[in-house]
Amino acid sequence: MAKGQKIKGADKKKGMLLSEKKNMAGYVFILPVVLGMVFIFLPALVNSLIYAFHNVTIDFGGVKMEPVGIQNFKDAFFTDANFIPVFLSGIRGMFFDSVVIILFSFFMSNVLNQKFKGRGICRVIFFLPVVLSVGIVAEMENANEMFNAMNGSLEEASATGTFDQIGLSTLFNVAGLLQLMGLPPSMTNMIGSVLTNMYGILNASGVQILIFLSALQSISPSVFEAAKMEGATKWEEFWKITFPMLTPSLLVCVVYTVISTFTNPVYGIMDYIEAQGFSGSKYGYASALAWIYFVVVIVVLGLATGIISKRVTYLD
Amino acid sequence: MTKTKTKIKKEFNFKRWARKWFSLHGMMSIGWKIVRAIILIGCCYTIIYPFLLKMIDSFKSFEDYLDPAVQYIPKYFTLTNIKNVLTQLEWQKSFPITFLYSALIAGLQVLVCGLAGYGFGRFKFRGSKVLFALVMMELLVPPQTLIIPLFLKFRFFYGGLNLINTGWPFIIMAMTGLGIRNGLYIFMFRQTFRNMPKELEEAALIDGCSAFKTFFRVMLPNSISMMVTVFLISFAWQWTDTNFTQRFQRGTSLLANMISAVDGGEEEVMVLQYNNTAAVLCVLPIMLVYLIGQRFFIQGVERSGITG
Repeated sequence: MAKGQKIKGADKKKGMLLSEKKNMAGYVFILPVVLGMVFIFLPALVNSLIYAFHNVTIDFGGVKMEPVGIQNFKDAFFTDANFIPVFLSGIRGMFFDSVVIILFSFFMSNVLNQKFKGRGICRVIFFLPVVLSVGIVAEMENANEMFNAMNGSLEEASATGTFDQIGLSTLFNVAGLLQLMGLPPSMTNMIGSVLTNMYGILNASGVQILIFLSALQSISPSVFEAAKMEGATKWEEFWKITFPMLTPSLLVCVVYTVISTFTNPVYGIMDYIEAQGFSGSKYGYASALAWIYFVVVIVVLGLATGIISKRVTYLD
Repeated sequence: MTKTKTKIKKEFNFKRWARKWFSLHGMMSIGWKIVRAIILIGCCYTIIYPFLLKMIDSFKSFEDYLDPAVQYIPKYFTLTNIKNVLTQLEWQKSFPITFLYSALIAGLQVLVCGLAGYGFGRFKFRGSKVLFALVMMELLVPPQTLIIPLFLKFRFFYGGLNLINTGWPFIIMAMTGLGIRNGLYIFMFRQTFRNMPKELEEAALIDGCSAFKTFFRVMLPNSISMMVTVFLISFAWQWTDTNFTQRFQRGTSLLANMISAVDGGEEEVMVLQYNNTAAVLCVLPIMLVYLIGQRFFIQGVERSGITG
């Protein structure tokens, strides 16, 4: 019996295909990332969850933790008067912005994929926010916004160039025009806010345009040729070929947009969490807030990807 | 590679011309062209205009800066702002340090993410899908959830080593694919390698290359545009990162730290203009690097074919 098993095992080892052996090399390639995940990322994630249930203080001796149960979470919802309003307004803003960013970048990538003069320059400019719209630059915007709030006049705004009042909406009063045309004010307000935020949206949609555009470039032209031969119009080509081919990257974009808008300091939640942790030294409480936030992100993402992934088409 | 452009000059044909421009289809296409031009010019203007204004602002004297009548051309052109801010930033020290450090981190990230992207894109080993999902999870977790435990981890690194205020936290994070949004880079590399022809690897195998030699001699040189793209993005994000830098390296003279130390000097109001100037000065090098590398950047986009 034992002998038989041994032989069976040996057979299996011998029977490993060459391709399987070759694929073992994959482990070596991803080794650094796996090491990082096991030794830094996962412990940090677990630790932050543990901190959320503790009262954490740091001194020269190290980390001191006192278990407090779910007190931190209770505080967040019932004691802390600032958290809920910051949280809700942030989530509302982010939700709206994510939708607008995705629609906008989808549209713009299709435009940038067409052939016209100056396309190269346009692409260079459109990708500029990818490298510029983070960190220091974002802080610079905030500083200017404060300055304008202090001065409060429109000329000042355009002189210092923040995104609040420049952009398309000062050139034409679009919202007012639409209201004259008889659209309900709720809708014109929405359009108006999108237009006044144009700068923010453009800055946030660099990576998404990049992803969509590269997906558009990867569609083989022969597919369009075949469709043309069958007598498809441009409209049909878009909805029957381009759109389905873009759905996988749509999924990626939705995930990326939700993450990046959720971690955007513009909405104030992140600043609030950090203020609690680093300035207020309430590491445990900050961890609890971060986890509440994280769970919301996961739920939103789960819903979004669940809805989209049903409609995603894969070629292979 | 050389591109040969051949232009065929068409003979002018009035009938075709009229059909092209006066049919319904032609009218619509002209209309679309106009709308497209307006949208594109508007968007480009919206992106560039604030930055241009900020550049102009840094040349203005303070009276001009507060004067709403002075917009584009400063009445009193001055370089004192820039000089003062440069001394405040200690640029002779902080610029080279930041440059070298960002380049080092970006290089490490390109290498590690390239390796991981190749591993995930080209090998089908057991658990690869689960591991890839976990890597994407790393992208998913907001950095703010992790920043506190990471801070504590580096503050009391294995055996109580204090790594805060040294260069190590970022180097360790870059070496293990945990830097700023590295999941995105791994994803981009994976898609690039996935779309490369299989024959490349087969040829390398027949010529007797090991898996590593194949990667370094065949696959990497063929993905040079994606490498430059990732390098540019990661360089820029590392350069401008204030979030992690101000936590992990508060004491060092990296730009992200120096910029928050800029103040107005004798007059406190000046701080607004000085902040503005400092930000412009910080961003200019990245702009230059981007403009030099943009050719690769756009090629990288066109060749990667990132799909889900």
